[in-house]
Amino acid sequence: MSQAKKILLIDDDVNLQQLMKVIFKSKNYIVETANNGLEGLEKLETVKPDLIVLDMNMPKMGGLEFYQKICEGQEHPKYPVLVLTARANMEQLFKQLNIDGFMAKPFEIVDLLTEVETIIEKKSNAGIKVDARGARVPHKICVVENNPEMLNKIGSIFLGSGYMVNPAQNGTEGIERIAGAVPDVALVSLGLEDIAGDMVILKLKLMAKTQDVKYILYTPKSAERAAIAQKISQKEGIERFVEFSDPQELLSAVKEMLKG
Amino acid sequence: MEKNIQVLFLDDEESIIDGMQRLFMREPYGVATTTQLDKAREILATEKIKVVVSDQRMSQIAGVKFLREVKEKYPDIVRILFTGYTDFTAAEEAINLGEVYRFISKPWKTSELLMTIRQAIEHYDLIAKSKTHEQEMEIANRKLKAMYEIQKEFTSTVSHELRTPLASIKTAIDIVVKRMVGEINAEQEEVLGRAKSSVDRLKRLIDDILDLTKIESGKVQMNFMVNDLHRVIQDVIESQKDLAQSRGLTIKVEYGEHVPHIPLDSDRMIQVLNNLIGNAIKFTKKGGITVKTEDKSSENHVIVSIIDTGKGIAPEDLSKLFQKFQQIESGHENEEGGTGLGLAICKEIVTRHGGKIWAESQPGVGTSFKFLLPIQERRVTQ
Repeated sequence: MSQAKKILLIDDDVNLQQLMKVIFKSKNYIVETANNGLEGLEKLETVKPDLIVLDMNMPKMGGLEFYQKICEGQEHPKYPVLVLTARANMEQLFKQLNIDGFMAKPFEIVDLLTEVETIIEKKSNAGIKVDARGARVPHKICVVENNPEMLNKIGSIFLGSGYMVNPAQNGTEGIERIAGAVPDVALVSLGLEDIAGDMVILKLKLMAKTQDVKYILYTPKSAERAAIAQKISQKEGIERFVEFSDPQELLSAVKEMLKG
Repeated sequence: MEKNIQVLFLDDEESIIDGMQRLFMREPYGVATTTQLDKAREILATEKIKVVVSDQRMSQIAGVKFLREVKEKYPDIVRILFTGYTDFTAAEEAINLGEVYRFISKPWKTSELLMTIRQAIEHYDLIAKSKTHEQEMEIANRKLKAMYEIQKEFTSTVSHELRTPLASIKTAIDIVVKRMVGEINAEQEEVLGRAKSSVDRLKRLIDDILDLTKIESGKVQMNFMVNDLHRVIQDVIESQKDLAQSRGLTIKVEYGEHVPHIPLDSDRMIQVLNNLIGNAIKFTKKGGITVKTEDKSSENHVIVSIIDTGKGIAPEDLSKLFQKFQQIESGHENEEGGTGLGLAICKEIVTRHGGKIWAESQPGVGTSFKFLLPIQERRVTQ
């Protein structure tokens, strides 16, 4: 077995903090604790954790500020971060942070441990196509599209071909749904209102749980967007960029992708 | 006593003006008269005039033009035009354009003139009154909306604030029950088991309150998509089969023929079905649960029924079922502890789909929860 992994736990609720310490210790993690972001920064001077479990609302220095500090001007922090949230402001969370996972309070112990393990081992949850009974489960796709008409159109194309479709109408909801029930393929519209489609994919690519999902970024074809599209298609994390004149093209793209 | 001046007469013939003052002496309102346009404008600016009567043919300005000016500046004032028969077209046009309330033809009958003026004042008062009402309503409405916003904000904040301490309690209990801090005996486990089930119920309650508040406020977007209802039902049954089996209950389906694909939010529909099937399992001791679908295309909807063989619900309780925090005396040991919000949430979701939900029951035989969903979209948009 490899060396014991180190977790830095930052939460101002000392009760929960100590309880989580018990949980992690039972799985032989080395646990360091801090009561707020400021203390967390101090700890980081001597400790190099494999994962930071971070609460958001804390006195002195909250989770957001702590996160920005450890990024040191970079886009991503040096350490993987799992955010604990009381589900207050998910949009802000997804918009401003590039996190590796999130966990709602209260949680089940087994879910917390799985999430932590997944992040640390960068193990993948996705891609399970055969259930316990060995039956073939239909492919799950998630469509993130803020135009209800288009959402319906794309959805019915996939439903008609036997896929399970999980729809979402904005980026925040999309991230929550994709992390909640990990699909095989996620189709994300480029022009989302709250968080742009390519950013949504980027954030999901960073989360351990959703890193192995295949992502398609799409946009209806238009001449003036061609140049922008060219640029975006070369971005990391996007399996495929589809500019369609007919949403049917998305179906063939997904089919091709799942074959490979 | 001085009468309030409420009516203004403008006519450039002195003789007519002279007669007017005498004519209105016995009326309860005061009348101002003038032959000068400037003077008329001055009176309008200083007095609280309700009705303006203007002659059409005047040297300084045409009556219709003057009344149009009045309309622009004082839109509430009732305007009346004095006309000779030769000006009939002008008067008609003025009425059609909404610039004039009535016209009085010259020569007039005294009684007719008085009647018209009285009616005009009444008309003014009526409009003013309904305007005040409207304003009051709007203020009340705005207050209500603000209060609703505060309540929503409060509910959401409280829910989030509650989650943090709840997380500690739940985690503490789970740690002990899972024996992560040493062995516990059977009695200790039972005691903690009771705490655990209450905590889990509290968690569901907080989730449900937040969920219901969100749906009610229209904050939750429904993601409608034309979908196969049977597949959604199959999904839910699959997830509840084990629970039913462990209680010796069967779940069977009776799918109607030709049930079309319909627009629905599958996640939310799963929530509804989970709730109804879960309830059916919870309240049925013997027998089974049947999920039935019917195609009523001719009436533009499909009906889904969840039928159990439980002890049934008393008729007087049926209507209360979908209200918040209503838990009907079931007589059963309700070991799982519902939140009393599940059916209220179901109702909101079905309503947002443009559908309807209700229950039918025969005590001793069983209960059917039914909901209909429109085939063509006619859902409630917020």
